[in-house]
Amino acid sequence: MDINESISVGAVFSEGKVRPAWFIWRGRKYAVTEVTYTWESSEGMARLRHFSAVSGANVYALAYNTDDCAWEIRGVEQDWRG
Amino acid sequence: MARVILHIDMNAFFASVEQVANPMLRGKPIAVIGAKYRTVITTASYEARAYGVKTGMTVPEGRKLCPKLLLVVGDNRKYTSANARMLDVFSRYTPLVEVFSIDEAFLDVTGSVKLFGSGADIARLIKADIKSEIGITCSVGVAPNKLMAKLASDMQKPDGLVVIEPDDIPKVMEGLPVNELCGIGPGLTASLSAIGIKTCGELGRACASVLRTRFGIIGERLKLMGMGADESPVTPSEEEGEAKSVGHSMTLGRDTSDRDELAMHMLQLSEMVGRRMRRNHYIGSVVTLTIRYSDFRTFSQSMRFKKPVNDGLDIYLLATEIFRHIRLMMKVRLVGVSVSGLNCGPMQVSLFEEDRKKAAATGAMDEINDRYGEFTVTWGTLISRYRHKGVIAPAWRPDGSRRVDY
Repeated sequence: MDINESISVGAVFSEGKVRPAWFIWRGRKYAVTEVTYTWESSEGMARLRHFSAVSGANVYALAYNTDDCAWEIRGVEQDWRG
Repeated sequence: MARVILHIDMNAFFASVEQVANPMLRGKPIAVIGAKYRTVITTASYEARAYGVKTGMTVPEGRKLCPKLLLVVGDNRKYTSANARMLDVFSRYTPLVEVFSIDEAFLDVTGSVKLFGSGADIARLIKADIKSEIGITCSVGVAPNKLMAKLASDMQKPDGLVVIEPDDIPKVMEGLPVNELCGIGPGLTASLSAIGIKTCGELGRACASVLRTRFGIIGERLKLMGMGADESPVTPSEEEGEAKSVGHSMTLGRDTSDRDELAMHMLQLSEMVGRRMRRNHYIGSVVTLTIRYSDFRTFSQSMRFKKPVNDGLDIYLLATEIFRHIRLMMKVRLVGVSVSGLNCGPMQVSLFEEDRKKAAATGAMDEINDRYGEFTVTWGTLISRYRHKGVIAPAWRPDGSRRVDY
């Protein structure tokens, strides 16, 4: 499911890297248990860092805009295993 | 001294990246597709390949072979970013890296052997780095030239490492079907078969003059290929020649014969082509419009400008002029716009004020779109443009005029 919503994120910045630890989306807090993949893209001059973040049984696509220090949730893959 | 060339091929690249990103996909048969409403498979995971699912199949064909096939809409930004990380790994071992496609590269490590060990040692180091940093596997071929390195990497998949030593080449080539070689497609295979050549061994022993008569200037090169010889250098992208054309195409969300809708897609493509030309300081004199019908029949028509341009609107107007003369036979699946007859250099400053104003407006739009992203300022017609993710073209390169941002 594609989403484009601003979110609040608690993140750890360490050794030049950033890693989301939790995020609040639609009033609910989600703990990130694993970041499985990261990648980068650009929108104009803004650099975006993307994270595939596991929380519970779902995988969330989070994006951090290094230009304005804003976080977005871009999508969620829900566990279909039931 | 024999060269040491590596060919590195990521295994089921797009599918592997998706499986790393999403743990729910790991170990499952998945197919990466270009768009939600399009049905052609761009890459299948090895689990899906075990059922016979292949690149280019439609989803119904794939599902027939593998009913549990999971579909993933590809995200090109993930793959181009992974490509950048791959190149970062390669650059630790040699500056001589030639990107062959988004998931393949040639490395000349001849000068690195004293630092890192043999070609096989370097291949193992690179495989380990790729696995630990990107999480995916690759197959590596090590050989004295690009032709044999590519052949070697194809011999063991996934996660392979095959070394072809110079002395092994005659034995490897003797019974090898000619179509196993990179660059010999079905047409050439059939033509060679017609003169009794089916294996590389036979090709290598063939009379050069016969091959030259039959195939022209590539005849002698074919003989060398049959012998496993290839002197072509590993060429880093910054040393590649100038582009011959700049183009974009898009497979539409649904087939259509609505001419207004097709014209809107042409405007979007023309703007993309113009942007890329201006970024790389090209001007061009020939516009080519490509149409693919729903039955995959494809044709192109070209028209020449009176003077070279690189403005999206100028390109669009000529593309629509070509389109005006085309009577559509059925619904259209794909549209492409490209500009050739390229020259590198500044545009001649127009004597007419209207042209200068137009150029200034285009420059201002470019500055805004450079700052805030593509299509931040664009034609009102394109507000409802098709936001397709596109498919990464084989000619894609990480930098230069062939780089496309997704």
